[in-house]
Amino acid sequence: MGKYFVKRLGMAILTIFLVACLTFLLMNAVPGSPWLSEKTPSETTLAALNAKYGLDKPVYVQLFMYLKNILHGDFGVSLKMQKNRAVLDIIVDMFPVSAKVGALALLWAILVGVPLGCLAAFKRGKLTDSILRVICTLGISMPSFVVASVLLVTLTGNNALNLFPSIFDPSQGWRAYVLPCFALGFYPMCYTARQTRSAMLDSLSQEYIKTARAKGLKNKKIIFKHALRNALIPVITYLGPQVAFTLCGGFVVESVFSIPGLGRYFVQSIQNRDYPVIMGTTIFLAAFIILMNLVVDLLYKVADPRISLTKGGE
Amino acid sequence: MIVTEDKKIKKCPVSLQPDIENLLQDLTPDDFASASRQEKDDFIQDRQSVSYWKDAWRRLKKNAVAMVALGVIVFLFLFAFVGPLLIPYGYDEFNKGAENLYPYHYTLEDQQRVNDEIAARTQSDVVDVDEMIAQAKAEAEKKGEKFTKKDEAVIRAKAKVAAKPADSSSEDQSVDEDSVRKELGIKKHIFGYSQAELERKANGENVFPHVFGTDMYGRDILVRVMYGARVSMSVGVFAAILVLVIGALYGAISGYCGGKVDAVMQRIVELIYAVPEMLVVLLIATALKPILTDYVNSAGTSPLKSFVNVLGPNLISMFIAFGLLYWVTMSRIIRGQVLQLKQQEYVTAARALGASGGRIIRRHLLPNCIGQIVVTTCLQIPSAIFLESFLSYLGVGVSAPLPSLGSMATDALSGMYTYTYRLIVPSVILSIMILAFNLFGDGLRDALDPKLKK
Repeated sequence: MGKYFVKRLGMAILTIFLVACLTFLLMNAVPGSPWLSEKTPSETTLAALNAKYGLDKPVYVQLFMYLKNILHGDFGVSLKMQKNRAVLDIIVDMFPVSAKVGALALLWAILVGVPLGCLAAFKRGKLTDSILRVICTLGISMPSFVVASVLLVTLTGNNALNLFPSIFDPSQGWRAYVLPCFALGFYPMCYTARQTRSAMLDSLSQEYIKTARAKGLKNKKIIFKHALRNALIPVITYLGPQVAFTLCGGFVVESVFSIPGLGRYFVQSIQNRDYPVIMGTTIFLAAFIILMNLVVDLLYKVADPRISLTKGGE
Repeated sequence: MIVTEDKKIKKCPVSLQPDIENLLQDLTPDDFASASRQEKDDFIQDRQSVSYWKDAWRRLKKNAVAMVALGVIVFLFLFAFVGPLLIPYGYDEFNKGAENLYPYHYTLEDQQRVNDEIAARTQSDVVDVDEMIAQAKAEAEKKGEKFTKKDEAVIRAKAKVAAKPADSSSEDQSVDEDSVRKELGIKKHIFGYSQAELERKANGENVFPHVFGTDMYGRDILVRVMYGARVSMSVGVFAAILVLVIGALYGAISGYCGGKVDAVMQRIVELIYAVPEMLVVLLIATALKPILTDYVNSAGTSPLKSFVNVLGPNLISMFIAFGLLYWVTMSRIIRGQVLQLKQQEYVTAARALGASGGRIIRRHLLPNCIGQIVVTTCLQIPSAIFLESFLSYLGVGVSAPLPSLGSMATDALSGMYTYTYRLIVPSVILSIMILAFNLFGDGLRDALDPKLKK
């Protein structure tokens, strides 16, 4: 276990490093300098500015400087959006909002998706199964902005049922969270339900279920103790990618509902070409997603003792 | 075939096996002559085999959902690629006088009726300003005072203030118009026409309607949606092909070579697999756009430059992202298949005959996992469309005049409540497109790989 953990951690760190390098190099290759504005500074000022920020050094030196600064928690300062505010400061300020919305979305996705998947598996081939299948296939075919738009048009505004605020307003309490979390969690919910259904069907056809039936266990016990437990393992594996998906889907949903989270800020920084913010946010989110994947992967290995730990991957 | 006496096999009395000795005695040398061409052809005719594809097609045809999905895909292809030819509007053509049209219209007669009704109800009690001034002048002269310009201005200002509430109530008037229409029982007619177009139509001209209305610049939404669907589908198909080529080759080489090569190649796959794709795609799209734009605008010409110019920087950056990141799933699937297949006898036979590795991969291994390849490619299309709409929605997708379903939805968000159809039309078409590809991919998987069906 220890060896495996160290190996996976090393891999994760290497990935984060690569993403950081890629980010830096891509952003560095973008034409135009940060000092370009309406008033072009004089030659000497430019040289002084470049020297001050180390922009006169070769790219690889700048890269190492940047990586060193990141390790010290210094992601640079915002150039346009909130002039001269530290990027790390912005991230610390805004990430909790995104994390809260994302976590709630994922929570409802799993809490609803798993039972729905089970239900579909038990009622296989019946009407319930067909209806659930239609909903879930529809769900994984609708980008989150479509879901969000449909919700906005039907449930907000003055010409329809005005149940929820169309613009995120934390003072409204839980009502503010309903629509964004629903929009964000709909895709993962449908995905989870589909996964659970096929895993459950797989699990129900296994020998140990026959054994359990043969020894006269009650249906409830068979389902919850034997079938569901094994069916949940593949569902856990997909949790990692789902976290990533929810965070990235958050970009759109946060923009639609004007949630003051990191996702919306990231999108705004892209539209405004505020490169330090783009770099800092990308690296931060990438690191977060990679580490979440690692945690999920380790949990998965713990949850399923059949999986050998020495040979990584299937 | 010579059967010697001492090797004669004892035959079980109940055996159904034909007695080969008697058979051999019946044969004449003629029986061993090579078959004529006619005979060969007859033989082939007799046992027409059911090929893999025919078999799959037969299974697919039975799957109603997949067939409907296929029909929808074909329809969308026609919609996207043939549709714009039939419509006389361009995607970036500003139709003057046809701004903000709804996807429905009222006929000219109905409009006249409504206007008359409103005019009748709001009999003008607005007093003419000039009349007021004339009155005031007369009054002033009566009193023997001098009517100054200042007085005139005061009256005019007063009249203006009085007229203002009437102006601002013009918004209410539209509500009023609606209620009047309701009272008169006037129905909406489908398709949008501008006032001028209605008049031209009344004169007997053939005017093509704005089926889905127009946007704030008077651009026809139907044409824009068609072009958007075209962009989405092209991106989906080309990205899937890119993924197919890279993923299949990488996976096949990795699986076939095995050993150290496989280990190294799989480490790379693991590394890319861990990268959060959407984030990096967003990053690549953001960074490459200015880089490529700069490249296109730079001096000199080259075939590569004109190629970049034709496709547009955004599409290229999207394809680069796909080429960099999205092939890993495909390569994993192919590798798994190849690992199994390379143990098969025909591979050993090919190797014994001296076939090179490349030939074995091309001629033996890849054709044998064609089912998996087709299914994975087909399921890659909707995810590429998904990603394209996501990027376009965030404003780093297709460049501005060219519409995309995602960017159309963003543009519509500001007037969401008044012009709901602008948001709904691209969203619905996008969802239907992804849904159809998903369902068809699922059906294809069931048809090509019946073992996987659950």
